[in-house]
Amino acid sequence: MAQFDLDLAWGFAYAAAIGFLTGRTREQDDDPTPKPGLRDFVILSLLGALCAQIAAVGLTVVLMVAASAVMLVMRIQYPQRTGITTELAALMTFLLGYLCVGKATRTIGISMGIILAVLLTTKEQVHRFALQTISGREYGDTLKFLALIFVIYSLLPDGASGPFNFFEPKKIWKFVILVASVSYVGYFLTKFLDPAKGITVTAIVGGLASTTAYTGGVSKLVAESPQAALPLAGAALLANSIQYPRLLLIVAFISPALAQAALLPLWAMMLAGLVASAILVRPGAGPAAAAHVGWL
Amino acid sequence: MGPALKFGVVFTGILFLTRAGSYLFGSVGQIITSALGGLIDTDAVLLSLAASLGETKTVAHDAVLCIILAAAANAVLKSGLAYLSGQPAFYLRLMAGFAVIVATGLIVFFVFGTHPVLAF
Repeated sequence: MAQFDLDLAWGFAYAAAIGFLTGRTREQDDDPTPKPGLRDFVILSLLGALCAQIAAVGLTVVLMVAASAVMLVMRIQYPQRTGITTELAALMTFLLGYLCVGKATRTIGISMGIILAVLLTTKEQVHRFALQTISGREYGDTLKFLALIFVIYSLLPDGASGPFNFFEPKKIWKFVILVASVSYVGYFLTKFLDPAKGITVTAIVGGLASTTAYTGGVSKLVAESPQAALPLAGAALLANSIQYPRLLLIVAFISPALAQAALLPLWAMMLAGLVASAILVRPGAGPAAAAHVGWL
Repeated sequence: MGPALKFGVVFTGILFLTRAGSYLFGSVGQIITSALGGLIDTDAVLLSLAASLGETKTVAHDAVLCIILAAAANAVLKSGLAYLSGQPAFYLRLMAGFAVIVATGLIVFFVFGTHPVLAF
């Protein structure tokens, strides 16, 4: 008789656990139509683990096709069901069980299983986030931002040309990405931070996103409501004080030595600005005015 | 995408100006072009300074002065924006604040220089 293989036992235990975790999420629906449930997921996951143990490619393929066929037949019997999340999750669970057996692939099998379970249980949150929290325009901006990084950057040529070697497309683009990233993060900070927290938070975030846009926005607000001039002057100075550590951060990415050399004067400038702004802002003066911060 | 491309164009222009300035007129040229560039975009000036230094360990004293002057020029730009509000109570305070900030930066720079303070 073969010796007891503890490691193998762990592999099957993980597979069963992953099947349970993903299958559990499918039992919450109050939808009465039959579909793969908790035990089916555990079985699929263990089947996958068995396939990995037997290591017969033909058997694995046949079983996956068979599992798909069974689910297809189920679907044909109940045409009123919509969506194929459960079926896709079942196929993935089979594969995750397979991955749990091999020592090298175990970690990825377990972690992907947990991610799958989280994804399955957070259906409402994911939909709300994708459709309501993120507006169509923000989604478009995000896509463009990613294109800046992953598409355009890789297409640009290396090297420098032109007088004084100033034209270095790839390097220049790296800086565009750097500055766009700071503004991008700043934009979403403004969005998700509660505007009721008021003028201080908007000012700090404005300083991180774009001080020029923020100062311009605040100036317009002051022109419209002169009674808020005092607190808004304080806010504008606060935003502009935050700008100096932000500049240090951006520089540090490219030249740590320069950032270090400029550390003392720029921190001093920030402190001076904070003190000036604190003197100018009277507590409780004026309503919290939410200034709009533009992109870059 | 629009603002990012705009920054790319502005940055390329400022990079050209600061390189040309330091190439043709040495450090004085670099200081003047940095200050002019600060009127348009501080990020662009600082990045072009950082790019010309790159990984080098020794930093020219002048580069830090350029940063402060670019920030000062930028403060002038912001003061101009504030002036457009037409409210002295607002823009005079802002200008006073900026004056304090820039003066502090220059004093600290000339008194303490560019001694390395703390490592990041």
